Amino acid sequence: MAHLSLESLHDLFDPEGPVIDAHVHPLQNFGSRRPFDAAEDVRLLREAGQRAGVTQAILFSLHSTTPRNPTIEQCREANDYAHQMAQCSDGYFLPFCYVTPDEPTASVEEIDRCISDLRMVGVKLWVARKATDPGLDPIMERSVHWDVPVLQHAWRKTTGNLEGESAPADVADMARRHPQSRIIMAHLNGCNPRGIEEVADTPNVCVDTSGGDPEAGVVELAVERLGADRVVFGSDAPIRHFGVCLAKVLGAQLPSVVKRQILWDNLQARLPPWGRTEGSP
Amino acid sequence: MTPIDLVDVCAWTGDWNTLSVEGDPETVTQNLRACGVTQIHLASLRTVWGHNLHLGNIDAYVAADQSDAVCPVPLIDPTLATWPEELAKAALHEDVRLVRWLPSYSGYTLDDSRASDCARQVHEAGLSLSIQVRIEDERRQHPRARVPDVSFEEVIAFAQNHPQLPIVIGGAAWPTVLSGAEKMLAGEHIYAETSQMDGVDSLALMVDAGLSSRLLFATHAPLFMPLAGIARILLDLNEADATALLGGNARRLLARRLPRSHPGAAHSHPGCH
Repeated sequence: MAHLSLESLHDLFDPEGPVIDAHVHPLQNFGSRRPFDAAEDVRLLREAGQRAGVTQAILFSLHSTTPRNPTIEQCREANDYAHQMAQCSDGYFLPFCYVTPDEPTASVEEIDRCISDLRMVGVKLWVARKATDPGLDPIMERSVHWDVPVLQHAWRKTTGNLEGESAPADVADMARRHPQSRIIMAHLNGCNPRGIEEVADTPNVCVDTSGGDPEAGVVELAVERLGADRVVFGSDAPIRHFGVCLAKVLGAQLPSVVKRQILWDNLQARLPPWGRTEGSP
Repeated sequence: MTPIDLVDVCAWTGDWNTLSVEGDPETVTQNLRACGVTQIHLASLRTVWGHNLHLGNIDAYVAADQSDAVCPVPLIDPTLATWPEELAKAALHEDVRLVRWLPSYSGYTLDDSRASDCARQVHEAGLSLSIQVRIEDERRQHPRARVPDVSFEEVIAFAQNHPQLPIVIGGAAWPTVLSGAEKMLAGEHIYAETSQMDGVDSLALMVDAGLSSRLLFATHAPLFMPLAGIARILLDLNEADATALLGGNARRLLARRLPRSHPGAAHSHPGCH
């Protein structure tokens, strides 16, 4: 084979259509570079996403100090920051509302504020409590009321999960308790092939491809076991690299039409009408 | 349209205990070449979990016989009684540039005197040494087969004791490498491959820290997607730095040097020059 040129190498990363990333945090949370303010955060993060071919991204802040059990005040500060970033991103970032099952009633109020007033497009849950905890129930019910998706962190760590960190089986339990909800289970590679099986019979759960290393064959396995309409692209940037994560999908042995579903259609179909791009399915 | 030389310093053939991959050498080579990789330094996974690491090396030698793009990377275990014989075989092979240690999988630490003895012989043979600090993130390993990372600091300390021997740190995470940049730069013989360096702007930050000439492109294929390994370099660096990392640095490091103990070394095939 002849040597490729740099230009030809770049062509290998052409997604041949729009790409929406389901899982991005501000640089302020996890970045290798600390931005001066929300505007600089937008500039640096958007540039990095655009270099990889990411057209639009779901953004959620876990607060500048990333506490595992945030207070509701910290959640509000985090959401205000994500809102600021969205406001100065020309539609590039679509924010999700971050809440805590430690304070379910206040979390419901925060969801109302973020969705009614700030027009956020979903809810984010992290590691305060496992998805089996009843503290999540009012939050899930409110997401159904607003008809927005919930992105729930999940991982199956051989080294042991954190006390409040959900495994895929916990997410499946939540999905069965709330069958009307639309759940995005985060971190396909972190959940690993066993985790895929644990959510296989919960059709209201899709999985994002973010997190973990770019292991071969895992996206293909998720499509085989869950169906092409239950896998969405995500990066977990800035912890992970947009382009590295996108390569998991672009390099997968899947038909172009399935890649298009993963990169765009599937997440668009789960967003509320005010978050969707016109003309998307 | 300038042609670019992509040298992958860490690819594998074989299968893995927690991840079934298409690891036959033909498929690995084909998939890497489809991404523009022109030279593939290939080691065998087959006996990483066996009692004799050396037995899988034949796979890499056979792959090199079958493809001009492949340079075998023999795995050496300095605690195996026959390592001198295995190293001598590597030194005599015209396409070997690197040998690799897997200290955590072989069950020794770098302060073992046998490791130092072996390192001296690797240098005598005119080869470079790759020390793999990680093959698989411990969080996703099989719960009954857990292998911790080798400490980056341990590798740096070992490298400082062997200043004449080119050492490639394999599988390290970027924050670790960045935090050790000064120590890497203090000796001209310490390199790191990029296959497990993830994160927004990770490579750009390391280049800013002065490591541009010390970083070597690697894919970790077939365990990882080959495109992922290219993405983190190609998308974030300027042309000069990208060209250096993707192949220039490796070509310079892995140019055939005459073994000190074997004057009149055999010629190598074009792929491995």
